[in-house]
Amino acid sequence: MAKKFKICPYIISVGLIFVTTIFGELVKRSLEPTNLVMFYLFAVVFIAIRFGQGPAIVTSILSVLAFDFFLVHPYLTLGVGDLQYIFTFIAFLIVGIVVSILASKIREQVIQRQTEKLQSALLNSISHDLRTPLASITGSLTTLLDDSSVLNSATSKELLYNSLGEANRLNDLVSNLLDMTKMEAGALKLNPKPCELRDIIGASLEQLKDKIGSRNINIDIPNDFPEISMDFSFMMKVFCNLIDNALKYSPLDTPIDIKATIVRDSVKIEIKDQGFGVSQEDLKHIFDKFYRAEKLKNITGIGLGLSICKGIIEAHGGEITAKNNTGLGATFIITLPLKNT
Amino acid sequence: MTEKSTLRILVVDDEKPIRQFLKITLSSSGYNVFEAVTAREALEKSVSVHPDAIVLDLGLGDMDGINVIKNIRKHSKVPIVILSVRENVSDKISALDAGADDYLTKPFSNQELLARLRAVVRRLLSQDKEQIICVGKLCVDVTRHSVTINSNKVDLTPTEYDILKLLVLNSGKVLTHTQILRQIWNKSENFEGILHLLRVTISNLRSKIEPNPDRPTYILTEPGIGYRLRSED
Repeated sequence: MAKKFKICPYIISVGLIFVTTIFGELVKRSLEPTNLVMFYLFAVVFIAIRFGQGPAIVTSILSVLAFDFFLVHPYLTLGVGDLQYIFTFIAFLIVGIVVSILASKIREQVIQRQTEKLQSALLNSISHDLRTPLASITGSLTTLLDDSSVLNSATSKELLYNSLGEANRLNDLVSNLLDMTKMEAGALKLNPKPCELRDIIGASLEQLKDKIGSRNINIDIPNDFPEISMDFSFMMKVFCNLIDNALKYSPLDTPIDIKATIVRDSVKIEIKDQGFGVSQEDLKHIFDKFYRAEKLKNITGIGLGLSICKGIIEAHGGEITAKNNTGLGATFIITLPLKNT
Repeated sequence: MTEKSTLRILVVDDEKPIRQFLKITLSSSGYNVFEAVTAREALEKSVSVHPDAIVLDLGLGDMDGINVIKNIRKHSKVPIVILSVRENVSDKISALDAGADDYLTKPFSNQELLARLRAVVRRLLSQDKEQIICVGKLCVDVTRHSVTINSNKVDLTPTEYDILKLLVLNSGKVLTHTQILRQIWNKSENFEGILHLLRVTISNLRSKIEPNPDRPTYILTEPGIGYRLRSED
Protein backbone atom coordinates (compact mmCIF):
# COMPACT_ATOMS: atom_id res chain seq x y z
CA MET A 1 0.00 0.00 0.00
CA ALA A 2 1.31 3.48 -0.91
CA LYS A 3 2.35 5.60 2.07
CA LYS A 4 0.22 8.66 2.71
CA PHE A 5 2.13 11.86 1.98
CA LYS A 6 2.43 14.14 5.00
CA ILE A 7 3.32 17.80 4.53
CA CYS A 8 4.00 18.54 8.21
CA PRO A 9 7.59 17.12 8.36
CA TYR A 10 8.56 19.27 5.34
CA ILE A 11 7.15 22.41 6.98
CA ILE A 12 9.10 21.60 10.16
CA SER A 13 12.18 21.01 7.99
CA VAL A 14 11.86 24.49 6.38
CA GLY A 15 11.28 26.01 9.83
CA LEU A 16 14.38 24.35 11.23
CA ILE A 17 16.52 25.54 8.30
CA PHE A 18 15.15 29.04 8.88
CA VAL A 19 16.10 28.97 12.60
CA THR A 20 19.54 27.50 11.79
CA THR A 21 20.15 30.23 9.21
CA ILE A 22 19.17 33.00 11.66
CA PHE A 23 21.56 31.46 14.17
CA GLY A 24 24.24 31.28 11.44
CA GLU A 25 23.69 34.98 10.63
CA LEU A 26 24.24 35.85 14.31
CA VAL A 27 27.50 33.95 14.68
CA LYS A 28 28.94 34.11 11.15
CA ARG A 29 31.42 36.84 12.13
CA SER A 30 32.97 34.71 14.86
CA LEU A 31 32.85 31.29 13.10
CA GLU A 32 34.31 29.98 9.87
CA PRO A 33 31.58 29.21 7.27
CA THR A 34 32.77 25.58 7.11
CA ASN A 35 32.02 25.26 10.85
CA LEU A 36 28.56 26.78 10.38
CA VAL A 37 27.77 23.81 8.12
CA MET A 38 27.78 21.59 11.21
CA PHE A 39 24.63 23.29 12.56
CA TYR A 40 22.79 22.35 9.39
CA LEU A 41 24.00 18.77 9.86
CA PHE A 42 22.32 18.70 13.29
CA ALA A 43 19.09 19.77 11.61
CA VAL A 44 19.43 16.95 9.05
CA VAL A 45 20.06 14.33 11.77
CA PHE A 46 17.08 15.58 13.83
CA ILE A 47 14.70 15.48 10.85
CA ALA A 48 16.02 12.03 9.77
CA ILE A 49 15.46 10.51 13.23
CA ARG A 50 12.08 12.16 13.73
CA PHE A 51 10.52 11.93 10.25
CA GLY A 52 12.58 9.56 8.11
CA GLN A 53 14.44 9.62 4.84
CA GLY A 54 12.35 11.84 2.51
CA PRO A 55 12.14 14.93 4.73
CA ALA A 56 15.83 14.46 5.71
CA ILE A 57 17.02 14.51 2.08
CA VAL A 58 14.93 17.64 1.44
CA THR A 59 16.51 19.17 4.58
CA SER A 60 20.01 18.35 3.22
CA ILE A 61 19.30 20.09 -0.10
CA LEU A 62 17.66 23.10 1.58
CA SER A 63 20.63 23.33 3.97
CA VAL A 64 23.11 23.59 1.08
CA LEU A 65 20.98 26.24 -0.65
CA ALA A 66 20.41 28.31 2.54
CA PHE A 67 24.06 28.02 3.55
CA ASP A 68 25.22 29.20 0.13
CA PHE A 69 22.60 31.97 -0.18
CA PHE A 70 22.94 33.52 3.28
CA LEU A 71 26.26 32.53 4.79
CA VAL A 72 28.76 32.23 1.90
CA HIS A 73 30.25 35.26 0.19
CA PRO A 74 28.88 36.78 -2.09
CA TYR A 75 25.75 36.92 0.13
CA LEU A 76 22.15 36.71 -1.13
CA THR A 77 23.18 34.94 -4.36
CA LEU A 78 23.63 31.26 -5.17
CA GLY A 79 27.07 31.97 -6.65
CA VAL A 80 30.30 31.21 -4.76
CA GLY A 81 33.37 33.42 -4.48
CA ASP A 82 35.69 30.59 -3.59
CA LEU A 83 35.56 27.35 -5.60
CA GLN A 84 36.50 25.27 -2.55
CA TYR A 85 32.91 25.78 -1.28
CA ILE A 86 31.70 23.62 -4.16
CA PHE A 87 33.54 20.69 -2.49
CA THR A 88 32.03 21.67 0.89
CA PHE A 89 28.54 21.62 -0.67
CA ILE A 90 29.07 18.27 -2.36
CA ALA A 91 30.59 16.74 0.80
CA PHE A 92 27.70 18.12 2.91
CA LEU A 93 25.14 16.78 0.50
CA ILE A 94 26.72 13.31 0.50
CA VAL A 95 27.08 13.25 4.31
CA GLY A 96 23.52 14.59 4.70
CA ILE A 97 22.04 11.93 2.41
CA VAL A 98 24.04 9.10 4.03
CA VAL A 99 23.01 10.30 7.51
CA SER A 100 19.38 10.51 6.31
CA ILE A 101 19.44 6.94 5.05
CA LEU A 102 21.18 5.53 8.14
CA ALA A 103 19.03 7.43 10.63
CA SER A 104 15.81 6.49 8.87
CA LYS A 105 16.90 2.83 8.80
CA ILE A 106 17.44 2.95 12.58
CA ARG A 107 14.02 4.55 12.92
CA GLU A 108 12.41 1.76 10.87
CA GLN A 109 14.16 -0.88 12.99
CA VAL A 110 12.91 0.74 16.20
CA ILE A 111 9.35 0.83 14.84
CA GLN A 112 9.65 -2.81 13.70
CA ARG A 113 10.92 -3.87 17.12
CA GLN A 114 8.03 -2.07 18.84
CA THR A 115 5.56 -3.78 16.48
CA GLU A 116 7.12 -7.19 17.17
CA LYS A 117 6.94 -6.55 20.91
CA LEU A 118 3.28 -5.58 20.63
CA GLN A 119 2.49 -8.65 18.51
CA SER A 120 4.25 -10.90 20.99
CA ALA A 121 2.35 -9.36 23.93
CA LEU A 122 -0.85 -9.84 21.95
CA LEU A 123 -0.07 -13.48 21.21
CA ASN A 124 0.77 -14.12 24.87
CA SER A 125 -2.50 -12.58 25.92
CA ILE A 126 -4.53 -14.64 23.42
CA SER A 127 -2.55 -17.78 24.25
CA HIS A 128 -3.30 -17.28 27.97
CA ASP A 129 -7.01 -16.85 27.33
CA LEU A 130 -7.16 -19.92 25.08
CA ARG A 131 -5.07 -22.24 27.22
CA THR A 132 -6.61 -21.49 30.61
CA PRO A 133 -10.16 -22.64 29.75
CA LEU A 134 -8.69 -25.54 27.76
CA ALA A 135 -6.75 -26.64 30.85
CA SER A 136 -9.96 -26.58 32.92
CA ILE A 137 -11.92 -28.50 30.29
CA THR A 138 -9.32 -31.23 29.71
CA GLY A 139 -8.59 -31.50 33.43
CA SER A 140 -12.27 -31.76 34.41
CA LEU A 141 -13.07 -34.29 31.70
CA THR A 142 -10.00 -36.41 32.50
CA THR A 143 -11.00 -36.51 36.16
CA LEU A 144 -14.53 -37.53 35.16
CA LEU A 145 -13.14 -40.34 33.01
CA ASP A 146 -10.39 -41.54 35.36
CA ASP A 147 -12.02 -41.14 38.76
CA SER A 148 -15.69 -41.78 37.96
CA SER A 149 -15.86 -44.55 40.57
CA VAL A 150 -14.86 -42.25 43.45
CA LEU A 151 -16.87 -39.18 42.43
CA ASN A 152 -20.41 -38.67 43.67
CA SER A 153 -23.02 -37.30 41.27
CA ALA A 154 -22.89 -33.74 42.68
CA THR A 155 -19.11 -33.57 42.15
CA SER A 156 -19.42 -35.04 38.66
CA LYS A 157 -22.05 -32.42 37.82
CA GLU A 158 -19.77 -29.69 39.19
CA LEU A 159 -17.01 -30.85 36.83
CA LEU A 160 -19.44 -30.94 33.88
CA TYR A 161 -20.71 -27.41 34.61
CA ASN A 162 -17.11 -26.29 34.97
CA SER A 163 -16.32 -27.67 31.49
CA LEU A 164 -19.47 -26.16 29.99
CA GLY A 165 -18.73 -22.73 31.47
CA GLU A 166 -15.18 -22.82 30.15
CA ALA A 167 -16.32 -24.03 26.72
CA ASN A 168 -18.71 -21.04 26.59
CA ARG A 169 -15.85 -18.78 27.59
CA LEU A 170 -13.75 -20.17 24.72
CA ASN A 171 -16.69 -19.65 22.37
CA ASP A 172 -17.01 -15.99 23.46
CA LEU A 173 -13.29 -15.46 22.99
CA VAL A 174 -13.22 -17.00 19.52
CA SER A 175 -16.30 -15.06 18.35
CA ASN A 176 -14.83 -11.82 19.74
CA LEU A 177 -11.59 -12.47 17.86
CA LEU A 178 -13.53 -13.20 14.67
CA ASP A 179 -15.66 -10.05 15.06
CA MET A 180 -12.54 -7.97 15.60
CA THR A 181 -10.85 -9.49 12.53
CA LYS A 182 -13.96 -8.78 10.44
CA MET A 183 -14.12 -5.22 11.74
CA GLU A 184 -10.48 -4.58 10.91
CA ALA A 185 -10.91 -6.02 7.43
CA GLY A 186 -13.95 -3.77 6.92
CA ALA A 187 -16.06 -6.90 6.46
CA LEU A 188 -18.59 -6.13 9.20
CA LYS A 189 -21.92 -6.23 7.34
CA LEU A 190 -24.82 -4.69 9.24
CA ASN A 191 -28.38 -5.60 8.52
CA PRO A 192 -30.24 -2.68 10.12
CA LYS A 193 -33.99 -2.87 10.57
CA PRO A 194 -36.33 -0.80 12.75
CA CYS A 195 -36.24 -2.47 16.18
CA GLU A 196 -37.75 -1.92 19.59
CA LEU A 197 -34.94 -1.12 22.02
CA ARG A 198 -36.88 -2.95 24.71
CA ASP A 199 -36.76 -6.17 22.62
CA ILE A 200 -32.98 -6.05 22.18
CA ILE A 201 -32.38 -5.37 25.86
CA GLY A 202 -34.85 -8.11 26.80
CA ALA A 203 -33.08 -10.63 24.54
CA SER A 204 -29.69 -9.62 25.98
CA LEU A 205 -30.93 -10.09 29.55
CA GLU A 206 -32.34 -13.49 28.61
CA GLN A 207 -28.92 -14.52 27.24
CA LEU A 208 -27.24 -13.36 30.46
CA LYS A 209 -29.86 -14.84 32.82
CA ASP A 210 -27.42 -17.30 34.44
CA LYS A 211 -24.94 -14.54 35.19
CA ILE A 212 -27.67 -12.14 36.37
CA GLY A 213 -29.16 -14.62 38.82
CA SER A 214 -30.93 -12.56 41.48
CA ARG A 215 -29.22 -9.27 40.57
CA ASN A 216 -31.52 -6.28 40.28
CA ILE A 217 -31.68 -4.73 36.78
CA ASN A 218 -33.80 -1.56 36.50
CA ILE A 219 -34.99 -0.67 33.00
CA ASP A 220 -36.31 2.80 32.28
CA ILE A 221 -37.52 3.12 28.66
CA PRO A 222 -40.56 5.35 27.96
CA ASN A 223 -43.60 3.52 26.55
CA ASP A 224 -43.74 5.75 23.46
CA PHE A 225 -40.04 5.22 22.68
CA PRO A 226 -39.58 5.16 18.87
CA GLU A 227 -38.20 2.21 16.93
CA ILE A 228 -34.53 2.58 16.03
CA SER A 229 -32.79 1.30 12.91
CA MET A 230 -30.33 -1.28 14.25
CA ASP A 231 -28.78 -4.65 13.47
CA PHE A 232 -30.53 -6.76 16.11
CA SER A 233 -27.82 -9.39 16.65
CA PHE A 234 -24.86 -6.96 16.68
CA MET A 235 -26.63 -4.54 19.02
CA MET A 236 -27.50 -7.49 21.25
CA LYS A 237 -23.79 -8.23 21.40
CA VAL A 238 -23.15 -4.63 22.52
CA PHE A 239 -25.76 -4.79 25.31
CA CYS A 240 -24.61 -8.25 26.42
CA ASN A 241 -21.03 -6.98 26.66
CA LEU A 242 -21.94 -3.83 28.56
CA ILE A 243 -24.37 -5.52 30.96
CA ASP A 244 -21.91 -8.41 31.51
CA ASN A 245 -19.18 -5.87 32.34
CA ALA A 246 -21.49 -4.05 34.74
CA LEU A 247 -22.26 -7.39 36.45
CA LYS A 248 -18.58 -8.37 36.66
CA TYR A 249 -17.32 -5.04 37.94
CA SER A 250 -19.89 -4.29 40.65
CA PRO A 251 -20.85 -5.95 43.97
CA LEU A 252 -23.61 -8.58 43.92
CA ASP A 253 -25.99 -6.53 46.08
CA THR A 254 -25.99 -3.43 43.85
CA PRO A 255 -28.44 -2.78 40.99
CA ILE A 256 -27.70 -2.03 37.34
CA ASP A 257 -29.73 0.74 35.72
CA ILE A 258 -30.52 0.91 32.00
CA LYS A 259 -32.14 4.12 30.85
CA ALA A 260 -33.06 5.40 27.38
CA THR A 261 -33.98 8.98 26.44
CA ILE A 262 -34.38 11.08 23.29
CA VAL A 263 -31.97 13.97 23.07
CA ARG A 264 -32.78 16.15 20.02
CA ASP A 265 -32.29 13.88 16.97
CA SER A 266 -30.47 11.11 18.88
CA VAL A 267 -31.22 8.25 21.20
CA LYS A 268 -29.21 8.15 24.41
CA ILE A 269 -28.91 4.82 26.23
CA GLU A 270 -27.15 4.66 29.59
CA ILE A 271 -25.95 1.53 31.39
CA LYS A 272 -25.02 2.44 34.93
CA ASP A 273 -23.49 0.30 37.67
CA GLN A 274 -22.53 1.00 41.27
CA GLY A 275 -19.22 -0.83 41.12
CA PHE A 276 -15.52 -0.02 41.32
CA GLY A 277 -15.60 2.74 38.68
CA VAL A 278 -12.81 3.32 36.18
CA SER A 279 -9.52 5.10 36.88
CA GLN A 280 -8.77 8.27 34.88
CA GLU A 281 -5.91 6.47 33.09
CA ASP A 282 -8.14 3.50 32.20
CA LEU A 283 -10.90 5.83 30.94
CA LYS A 284 -8.52 7.08 28.23
CA HIS A 285 -7.87 3.58 26.86
CA ILE A 286 -10.95 1.62 27.85
CA PHE A 287 -12.16 1.22 24.24
CA ASP A 288 -8.67 0.27 22.92
CA LYS A 289 -8.10 -3.24 21.63
CA PHE A 290 -6.70 -5.70 24.21
CA TYR A 291 -6.68 -3.03 26.92
CA ARG A 292 -7.47 -4.31 30.41
CA ALA A 293 -7.90 -2.17 33.48
CA GLU A 294 -4.82 -2.72 35.66
CA LYS A 295 -6.55 -3.35 38.99
CA LEU A 296 -9.06 -5.78 37.45
CA LYS A 297 -6.62 -8.23 35.88
CA ASN A 298 -8.00 -11.05 38.05
CA ILE A 299 -11.38 -10.78 36.32
CA THR A 300 -11.37 -12.92 33.17
CA GLY A 301 -11.41 -11.31 29.75
CA ILE A 302 -9.10 -10.47 26.92
CA GLY A 303 -9.89 -6.78 26.50
CA LEU A 304 -11.79 -6.99 23.22
CA GLY A 305 -15.40 -6.58 24.37
CA LEU A 306 -15.50 -2.78 24.60
CA SER A 307 -13.53 -2.19 21.41
CA ILE A 308 -15.99 -4.45 19.58
CA CYS A 309 -18.88 -2.46 21.11
CA LYS A 310 -17.27 0.73 19.87
CA GLY A 311 -16.83 -0.72 16.36
CA ILE A 312 -20.48 -1.84 16.21
CA ILE A 313 -21.85 1.46 17.54
CA GLU A 314 -19.71 3.48 15.12
CA ALA A 315 -20.87 1.27 12.25
CA HIS A 316 -24.40 2.38 13.23
CA GLY A 317 -23.29 6.01 12.98
CA GLY A 318 -23.35 6.48 16.74
CA GLU A 319 -20.82 6.82 19.53
CA ILE A 320 -20.07 5.23 22.89
CA THR A 321 -18.44 6.89 25.88
CA ALA A 322 -17.70 6.01 29.48
CA LYS A 323 -17.65 8.14 32.60
CA ASN A 324 -17.45 7.70 36.35
CA ASN A 325 -20.60 8.43 38.33
CA THR A 326 -20.62 11.15 40.94
CA GLY A 327 -21.20 8.46 43.54
CA LEU A 328 -20.13 4.86 42.98
CA GLY A 329 -19.48 3.05 39.71
CA ALA A 330 -19.39 3.92 36.03
CA THR A 331 -21.86 4.68 33.25
CA PHE A 332 -21.52 3.68 29.60
CA ILE A 333 -23.43 5.96 27.27
CA ILE A 334 -24.49 4.97 23.75
CA THR A 335 -25.73 7.65 21.39
CA LEU A 336 -27.43 6.55 18.19
CA PRO A 337 -28.89 8.78 15.45
CA LEU A 338 -32.67 8.73 15.00
CA LYS A 339 -32.44 9.92 11.39
CA ASN A 340 -32.13 6.43 9.82
CA THR A 341 -35.33 5.30 11.48
CA MET B 1 5.30 -33.86 57.68
CA THR B 2 2.07 -35.82 57.49
CA GLU B 3 1.19 -39.21 56.03
CA LYS B 4 0.07 -39.46 52.39
CA SER B 5 -3.62 -39.76 53.24
CA THR B 6 -3.59 -36.31 54.78
CA LEU B 7 -0.96 -34.58 52.66
CA ARG B 8 -1.89 -30.93 52.34
CA ILE B 9 -1.71 -29.24 48.95
CA LEU B 10 -2.12 -25.51 48.52
CA VAL B 11 -3.52 -24.65 45.06
CA VAL B 12 -2.81 -21.05 44.03
CA ASP B 13 -4.61 -19.86 40.91
CA ASP B 14 -6.72 -16.79 40.17
CA GLU B 15 -8.92 -18.79 37.78
CA LYS B 16 -11.84 -20.31 39.69
CA PRO B 17 -12.51 -23.15 37.17
CA ILE B 18 -8.88 -24.33 37.50
CA ARG B 19 -9.04 -24.31 41.30
CA GLN B 20 -12.38 -26.07 41.19
CA PHE B 21 -11.26 -29.05 39.09
CA LEU B 22 -7.85 -29.27 40.82
CA LYS B 23 -9.60 -29.43 44.19
CA ILE B 24 -11.78 -32.32 43.01
CA THR B 25 -8.93 -34.12 41.21
CA LEU B 26 -6.43 -33.84 44.06
CA SER B 27 -9.05 -34.63 46.72
CA SER B 28 -10.08 -37.79 44.89
CA SER B 29 -6.39 -38.80 44.93
CA GLY B 30 -6.35 -38.51 48.72
CA TYR B 31 -4.88 -35.04 49.21
CA ASN B 32 -6.26 -32.38 51.52
CA VAL B 33 -6.63 -29.31 49.27
CA PHE B 34 -6.47 -25.64 50.28
CA GLU B 35 -7.02 -22.77 47.88
CA ALA B 36 -5.56 -19.30 47.41
CA VAL B 37 -6.69 -16.77 44.79
CA THR B 38 -4.07 -14.05 45.16
CA ALA B 39 -0.34 -13.94 45.81
CA ARG B 40 -0.95 -12.32 49.18
CA GLU B 41 -3.31 -15.09 50.20
CA ALA B 42 -0.79 -17.68 48.93
CA LEU B 43 1.98 -16.21 51.09
CA GLU B 44 -0.29 -16.13 54.14
CA LYS B 45 -1.49 -19.71 53.64
CA SER B 46 2.02 -21.01 52.90
CA VAL B 47 2.63 -20.20 56.58
CA SER B 48 -0.76 -20.80 58.21
CA VAL B 49 -1.78 -24.00 56.39
CA HIS B 50 1.68 -25.69 56.49
CA PRO B 51 1.20 -27.26 53.04
CA ASP B 52 3.25 -30.33 52.04
CA ALA B 53 3.35 -28.98 48.47
CA ILE B 54 2.17 -25.91 46.59
CA VAL B 55 0.71 -25.88 43.07
CA LEU B 56 1.27 -22.34 41.84
CA ASP B 57 0.09 -20.35 38.81
CA LEU B 58 2.59 -17.69 37.70
CA GLY B 59 0.09 -15.11 36.41
CA LEU B 60 -1.54 -13.83 39.58
CA GLY B 61 -3.25 -10.46 39.69
CA ASP B 62 -1.39 -8.84 42.57
CA MET B 63 2.18 -10.18 42.22
CA ASP B 64 4.13 -12.19 39.66
CA GLY B 65 4.48 -15.88 40.54
CA ILE B 66 8.30 -15.67 40.42
CA ASN B 67 8.23 -13.23 43.33
CA VAL B 68 5.80 -15.50 45.18
CA ILE B 69 8.34 -18.37 44.87
CA LYS B 70 11.17 -16.14 46.11
CA ASN B 71 9.09 -14.99 49.08
CA ILE B 72 8.11 -18.54 50.05
CA ARG B 73 11.73 -19.70 49.72
CA LYS B 74 12.78 -17.14 52.34
CA HIS B 75 11.14 -19.26 55.03
CA SER B 76 10.23 -22.66 53.58
CA LYS B 77 11.51 -25.59 51.53
CA VAL B 78 7.98 -26.72 50.68
CA PRO B 79 7.95 -28.26 47.17
CA ILE B 80 6.45 -25.90 44.58
CA VAL B 81 5.06 -27.17 41.27
CA ILE B 82 4.32 -24.45 38.73
CA LEU B 83 1.22 -24.66 36.54
CA SER B 84 1.37 -21.94 33.93
CA VAL B 85 0.37 -21.03 30.38
CA ARG B 86 3.82 -19.51 29.90
CA GLU B 87 5.73 -21.97 27.79
CA ASN B 88 8.93 -20.06 27.02
CA VAL B 89 12.13 -21.75 28.16
CA SER B 90 13.18 -18.47 29.80
CA ASP B 91 10.03 -18.44 31.97
CA LYS B 92 10.66 -22.04 33.06
CA ILE B 93 14.31 -21.29 33.90
CA SER B 94 13.33 -18.17 35.90
CA ALA B 95 10.80 -20.16 37.94
CA LEU B 96 13.15 -23.09 38.58
CA ASP B 97 16.07 -20.80 39.42
CA ALA B 98 13.82 -18.87 41.82
CA GLY B 99 13.27 -22.14 43.69
CA ALA B 100 10.35 -23.96 42.04
CA ASP B 101 10.69 -27.75 42.01
CA ASP B 102 8.85 -28.49 38.80
CA TYR B 103 7.02 -26.83 35.94
CA LEU B 104 3.99 -27.94 33.94
CA THR B 105 2.46 -25.99 31.06
CA LYS B 106 -1.33 -25.56 30.83
CA PRO B 107 -3.17 -27.50 29.52
CA PHE B 108 -1.56 -30.45 31.30
CA SER B 109 -2.32 -34.09 31.95
CA ASN B 110 -3.81 -34.81 35.39
CA GLN B 111 -1.73 -37.98 35.65
CA GLU B 112 1.45 -36.03 34.98
CA LEU B 113 0.58 -33.47 37.65
CA LEU B 114 -0.13 -36.24 40.16
CA ALA B 115 3.14 -38.01 39.27
CA ARG B 116 5.17 -34.82 39.66
CA LEU B 117 3.46 -34.08 42.99
CA ARG B 118 4.22 -37.61 44.22
CA ALA B 119 7.87 -37.15 43.18
CA VAL B 120 8.41 -33.81 44.91
CA VAL B 121 6.63 -34.91 48.08
CA ARG B 122 8.53 -38.24 48.20
CA ARG B 123 11.82 -36.41 47.84
CA LEU B 124 10.99 -34.20 50.77
CA LEU B 125 9.82 -37.17 52.88
CA SER B 126 12.95 -39.22 52.14
CA GLN B 127 15.49 -36.40 52.51
CA ASP B 128 16.01 -36.83 56.24
CA LYS B 129 15.97 -40.59 56.55
CA GLU B 130 17.42 -42.33 53.49
CA GLN B 131 21.15 -42.62 53.06
CA ILE B 132 20.90 -45.07 50.16
CA ILE B 133 18.72 -43.70 47.38
CA CYS B 134 17.61 -46.07 44.62
CA VAL B 135 15.97 -45.21 41.31
CA GLY B 136 15.26 -48.34 39.30
CA LYS B 137 18.43 -50.43 39.36
CA LEU B 138 20.60 -47.40 40.15
CA CYS B 139 21.52 -47.01 43.85
CA VAL B 140 23.58 -44.21 45.38
CA ASP B 141 24.90 -44.62 48.93
CA VAL B 142 25.36 -41.03 50.04
CA THR B 143 27.37 -41.84 53.21
CA ARG B 144 29.79 -44.27 51.52
CA HIS B 145 30.05 -42.33 48.25
CA SER B 146 29.33 -45.48 46.27
CA VAL B 147 27.17 -46.09 43.22
CA THR B 148 25.84 -49.41 41.98
CA ILE B 149 23.87 -50.54 38.95
CA ASN B 150 22.26 -53.99 39.25
CA SER B 151 24.32 -54.31 42.46
CA ASN B 152 27.54 -53.89 40.44
CA LYS B 153 29.81 -51.10 41.62
CA VAL B 154 30.31 -48.21 39.16
CA ASP B 155 33.54 -46.20 39.22
CA LEU B 156 32.90 -42.48 38.89
CA THR B 157 35.21 -39.48 38.96
CA PRO B 158 34.59 -37.09 41.90
CA THR B 159 32.78 -34.59 39.61
CA GLU B 160 30.63 -37.30 38.03
CA TYR B 161 29.71 -38.53 41.51
CA ASP B 162 28.87 -35.01 42.72
CA ILE B 163 26.57 -34.40 39.75
CA LEU B 164 24.88 -37.79 40.15
CA LYS B 165 24.42 -37.21 43.88
CA LEU B 166 22.88 -33.80 43.20
CA LEU B 167 20.49 -35.32 40.65
CA VAL B 168 19.60 -38.25 42.90
CA LEU B 169 18.90 -36.03 45.91
CA ASN B 170 16.55 -34.08 43.64
CA SER B 171 15.18 -37.01 41.67
CA GLY B 172 12.14 -36.03 39.61
CA LYS B 173 13.01 -32.36 39.87
CA VAL B 174 14.34 -30.35 36.95
CA LEU B 175 17.74 -28.84 37.77
CA THR B 176 18.66 -25.93 35.53
CA HIS B 177 22.15 -25.61 34.05
CA THR B 178 22.67 -22.61 36.33
CA GLN B 179 21.75 -24.58 39.45
CA ILE B 180 24.08 -27.49 38.58
CA LEU B 181 27.00 -25.24 37.59
CA ARG B 182 26.61 -23.20 40.77
CA GLN B 183 26.50 -26.29 43.00
CA ILE B 184 29.29 -28.28 41.34
CA TRP B 185 31.79 -25.71 40.06
CA ASN B 186 30.50 -22.50 41.71
CA LYS B 187 30.44 -20.90 38.27
CA SER B 188 27.75 -19.21 36.17
CA GLU B 189 26.69 -20.21 32.66
CA ASN B 190 28.67 -17.28 31.27
CA PHE B 191 31.98 -18.85 32.33
CA GLU B 192 33.60 -19.86 29.06
CA GLY B 193 33.45 -23.57 28.26
CA ILE B 194 31.68 -24.52 31.49
CA LEU B 195 28.44 -25.57 29.79
CA HIS B 196 30.44 -27.78 27.42
CA LEU B 197 32.21 -29.33 30.41
CA LEU B 198 28.83 -30.09 32.01
CA ARG B 199 27.58 -31.76 28.81
CA VAL B 200 30.74 -33.87 28.55
CA THR B 201 30.50 -34.92 32.21
CA ILE B 202 26.81 -35.84 31.80
CA SER B 203 27.69 -37.81 28.67
CA ASN B 204 30.45 -39.72 30.56
CA LEU B 205 28.08 -40.34 33.45
CA ARG B 206 25.45 -41.70 31.09
CA SER B 207 27.98 -44.03 29.45
CA LYS B 208 28.64 -45.50 32.92
CA ILE B 209 25.10 -45.83 34.31
CA GLU B 210 22.69 -45.95 31.36
CA PRO B 211 21.87 -49.30 29.72
CA ASN B 212 21.84 -47.42 26.40
CA PRO B 213 23.60 -44.01 26.72
CA ASP B 214 22.08 -42.82 23.40
CA ARG B 215 18.57 -43.24 24.80
CA PRO B 216 19.01 -42.33 28.46
CA THR B 217 16.41 -43.55 30.94
CA TYR B 218 17.94 -42.21 34.17
CA ILE B 219 19.41 -38.78 33.39
CA LEU B 220 16.82 -37.06 31.21
CA THR B 221 17.53 -33.86 29.27
CA GLU B 222 15.11 -30.94 29.62
CA PRO B 223 15.91 -29.16 26.33
CA GLY B 224 17.36 -25.71 26.85
CA ILE B 225 16.76 -25.87 30.61
CA GLY B 226 18.85 -28.57 32.30
CA TYR B 227 18.57 -32.18 33.51
CA ARG B 228 16.26 -34.31 35.60
CA LEU B 229 16.87 -37.71 37.17
CA ARG B 230 13.93 -40.00 36.49
CA SER B 231 11.86 -40.40 39.64
CA GLU B 232 10.84 -43.80 40.99
CA ASP B 233 7.18 -44.08 40.06
